Amino acid sequence: MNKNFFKNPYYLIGVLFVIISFLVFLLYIIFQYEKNIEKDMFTIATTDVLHITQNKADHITKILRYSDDYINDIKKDTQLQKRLEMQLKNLITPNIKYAYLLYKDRKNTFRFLVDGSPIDEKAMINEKLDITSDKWFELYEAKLPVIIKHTYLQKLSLSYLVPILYKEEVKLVLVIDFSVDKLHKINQIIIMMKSGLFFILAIVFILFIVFAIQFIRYKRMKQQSFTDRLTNVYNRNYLHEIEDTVNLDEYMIAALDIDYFKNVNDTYGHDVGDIILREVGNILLHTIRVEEDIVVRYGGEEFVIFIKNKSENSDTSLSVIQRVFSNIKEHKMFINEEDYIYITVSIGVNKTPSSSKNFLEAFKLADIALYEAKESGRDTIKIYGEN
Amino acid sequence: MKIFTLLLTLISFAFSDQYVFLVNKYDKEIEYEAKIILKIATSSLGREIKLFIPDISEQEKKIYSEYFNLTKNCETANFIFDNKGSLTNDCKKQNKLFFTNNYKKLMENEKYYGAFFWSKSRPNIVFIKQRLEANSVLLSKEYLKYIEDINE
Repeated sequence: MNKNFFKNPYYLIGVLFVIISFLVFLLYIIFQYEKNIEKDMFTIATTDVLHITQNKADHITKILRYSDDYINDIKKDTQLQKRLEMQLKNLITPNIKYAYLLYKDRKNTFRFLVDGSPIDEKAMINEKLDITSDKWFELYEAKLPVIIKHTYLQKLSLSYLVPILYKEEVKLVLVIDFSVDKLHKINQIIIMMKSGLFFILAIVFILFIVFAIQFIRYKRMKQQSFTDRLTNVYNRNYLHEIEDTVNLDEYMIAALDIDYFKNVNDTYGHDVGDIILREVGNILLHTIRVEEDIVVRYGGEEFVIFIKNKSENSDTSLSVIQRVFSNIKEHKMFINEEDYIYITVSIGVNKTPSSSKNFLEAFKLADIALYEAKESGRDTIKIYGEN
Repeated sequence: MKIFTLLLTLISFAFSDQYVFLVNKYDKEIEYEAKIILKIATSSLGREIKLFIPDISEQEKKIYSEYFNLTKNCETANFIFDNKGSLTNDCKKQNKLFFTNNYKKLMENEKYYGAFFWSKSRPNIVFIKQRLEANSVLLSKEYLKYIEDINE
């Protein structure tokens, strides 16, 4: 993997953005399919219990195998009642709140026959049970187990009804009622999943914000560290930053030096020298094409200019250099409120930096041209390789 | 520090359901019971109900008083809901409508003409046909399915 991947903060912001998107998507899925997840988890948690209840119903049928009138035989026989009660008691767990055996009388009222509940909650024989769903009657037609989900009972989540048949006719119903505890536990797990995701999302989001703020600050600081405070053009740090990555095919390189700058400093002082440098920087920034060309203060009174080649014809780029040269020469440099001086510059140009191995070599050629310009009396532009 | 405080706040909000014990529990079951008793008493008496609940708790008083004119004694009431089995003998001698919340007590004590009780966490209503007749109570149609004939 490219080392720039870790150096470039854009990628990290992108990665954080992808993580946030993924977590939001996950949360959306959980919210969207919460009921299905709850249902599936409940099914997984109760499947074994439903099988056990079915087995229990089969066992009760076996116990009653010598009876041809289940209801009346149970009502009359206390021993049989106790035996069946034991079977029902075995079904009761922290999650199965009640287990009981009912019958339906001729008025379609459901009544208790045997109840596996503890004594304080035990229903009496023949005590009626007001049912809360018509699904109870479906069992008598389909002769198959029925699951009834309770939506408004506070303490029960669902009931499982298993028919007990005699000669293909439903005579008794074995009922188990699930407490809401299991459903609450499942809901708690879902809530925990949601809370956990929210928590992670919040942390990632905070990280994202912190990172974005740091990134902006970093960019600002980097910008400051790359700018020469006196002239407002790029400084040498920036040159180091781009010298390996700048595409030399795209640019023409010019080295610019202010003529007799030492004399200006010696005659008018360093404050005026600074004014001259600031003015030159200002002219450079106003003359080059801001989006395309690059100006760097190389050191002292020397500047490097990268002029972008817009076409095969190098005249356009050279005209930018010519404009820089003229603008500086014609500009009144005020050394105080009334007095001004004119200054000139020498410029050396390397028109084909791509012929060099790297920037340093290309710059060296521009510097040679600059040397030639100075040698030939200054205030001129020299192009490397041209007399 | 700001991030730490923000994280702590987020965690507190995320687990806010853990702190509901700090709020007074309002019993929905009592409210539901009060509404049912109001409907039954209205259907049974057909006039203003003066309800007496022996040994009424503060929570019950708070909820029931929203629906009923509660009396402090048996004498001034016209409907007695005995939900704790604490009816005094003096009260039992009164000619009032007695209602219970216990199926067994309904079967054992013929003073009660009906019961509203929770069986297997489900609300159940029972009226005894013979006792309705003895108290000259004519229930509305919606309650007919709850009437039981103890002689059957």
